[in-house]
Amino acid sequence: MDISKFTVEDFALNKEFRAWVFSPSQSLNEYWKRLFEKYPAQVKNAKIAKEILLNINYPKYQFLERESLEVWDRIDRETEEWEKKKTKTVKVVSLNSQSLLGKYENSGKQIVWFSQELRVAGILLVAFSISLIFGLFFTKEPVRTEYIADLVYDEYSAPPGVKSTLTMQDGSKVLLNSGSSVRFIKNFEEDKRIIYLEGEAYFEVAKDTLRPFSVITGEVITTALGTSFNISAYPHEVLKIALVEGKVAVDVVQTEDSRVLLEKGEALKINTNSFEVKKELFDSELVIAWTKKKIIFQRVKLAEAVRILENWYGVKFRFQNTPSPDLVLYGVFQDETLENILEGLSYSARFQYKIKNDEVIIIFN
Amino acid sequence: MRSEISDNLVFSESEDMDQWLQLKRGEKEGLARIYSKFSSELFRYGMAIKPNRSFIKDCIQELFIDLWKYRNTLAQTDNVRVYLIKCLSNRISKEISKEKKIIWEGEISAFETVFLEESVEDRLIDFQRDEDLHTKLKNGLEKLPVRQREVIQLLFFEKQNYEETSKILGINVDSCYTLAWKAIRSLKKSIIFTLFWLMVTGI
Repeated sequence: MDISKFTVEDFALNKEFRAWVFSPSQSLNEYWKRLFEKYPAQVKNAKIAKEILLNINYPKYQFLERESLEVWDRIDRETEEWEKKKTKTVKVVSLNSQSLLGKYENSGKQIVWFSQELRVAGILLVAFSISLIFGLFFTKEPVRTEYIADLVYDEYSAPPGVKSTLTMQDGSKVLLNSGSSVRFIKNFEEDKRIIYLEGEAYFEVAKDTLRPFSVITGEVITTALGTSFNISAYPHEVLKIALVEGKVAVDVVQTEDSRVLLEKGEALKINTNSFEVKKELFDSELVIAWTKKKIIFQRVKLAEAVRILENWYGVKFRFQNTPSPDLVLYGVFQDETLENILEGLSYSARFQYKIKNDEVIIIFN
Repeated sequence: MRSEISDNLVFSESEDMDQWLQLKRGEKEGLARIYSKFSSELFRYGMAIKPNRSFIKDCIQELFIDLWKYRNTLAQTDNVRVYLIKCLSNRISKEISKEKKIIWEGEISAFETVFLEESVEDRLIDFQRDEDLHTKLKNGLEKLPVRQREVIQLLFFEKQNYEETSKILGINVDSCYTLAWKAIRSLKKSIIFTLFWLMVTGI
């Protein structure tokens, strides 16, 4: 091999050179020794290349088992949902009355003590009888509705301007704040109760020591056994978990061994970018105010206040002029109209406002 | 396609092919088996190029969802592993260019810290040999553009040859070599001061 014109780069990228550096053998040693005797000027370049090769770090990032499972879970779910959507769009679902009736017949009667086959048969029978009866009145032959299996996941969301309460099959209650949503497997799994949350919700968990109750918010998992807690997980905001009653464990997937136990009256703030975790005591009245139709602004940044009001009243804010960047808002409002709240805030924060339908224009002085 | 891959074709594992065919037939188990076999490696590879856990997890997730969605049109591949790495590589570059702005901000700040650490004074005073070389190279590696980091990862750590590497990166073998060459040159620059001391002191 002619190495007379070899640069450091060439050495580093040369397969034989790398083989020699990483697994030297008698024959390789002799081979390279001869080469360097022939081209002694190249020793320097070879040395540098060797240092690079030996000192370069092999990045060892581990895919944690639970991360792997979590990602698979999402893949599984999304492909499953995609399949369902696909079958739905492929199937010609007729919009005539008999198929519609058949469908409601189907979803309304959840006779759990019948076996799957019996249910299908029953539904088909009902659909068939209805179609027979209606068939007498319509010349066109009705299209048979196919039995579509129950969706695996239930999803509930409270649109802006609305708050909703859910009672789950296990007796747990979820109070969903405006602009938030939860998703969970219908009737839960046998050994665990898992809820995915976006936004804010207050949970009253029914005690069931055999099935831990977990709320997943992005990378953070809050697990409880019979307890009441509030989670606020809005995008681009610090994640807040406040424990009103009982005990919860919080895991951050991102960092290993990061389980934090919360006691009654304690809250956890998690920066979802840096995963910095901070435990503090919280004012229960403040955190669960929203469940009592109360808005409390206590040193609240403008962006957060806007998010709260937009969700609460189902409006959009627009701004003219920029306020001072360190503007914070204060105020307590119990079941108030938007106008009263804006009126209240406008004095201290120094702005004028206009409400046009569902748009609010704020003009800073 | 077939002719491009030479010798490793012979060794392509029949087990991988079974799973691949299973997937193409629409059996979820095939997807699951491919996932459990390759996901850790894909994660490690992705993190080496773009060390952001949730970003890489999202990429892997989307990759497998797409595998499922487009299973009917999937190419008949000879090497599932190389195919998957290629898909991940494409996806990462695509996502990065999509979110260029956000990611740049991150890179700029990383660069700044590195830059601050490396004042000339530091370089001259601080020569703790290996440890120093190690950190210098680590910083150098982190500063490399994504594609260069990828080529190093593939050639040095994933032990791919030039043909496979160029296939994964979607460029020809010559460009692949040039890319690797540029990467080594940057790495060399990042340690040249320390190395100079090494040479002078004769260790």
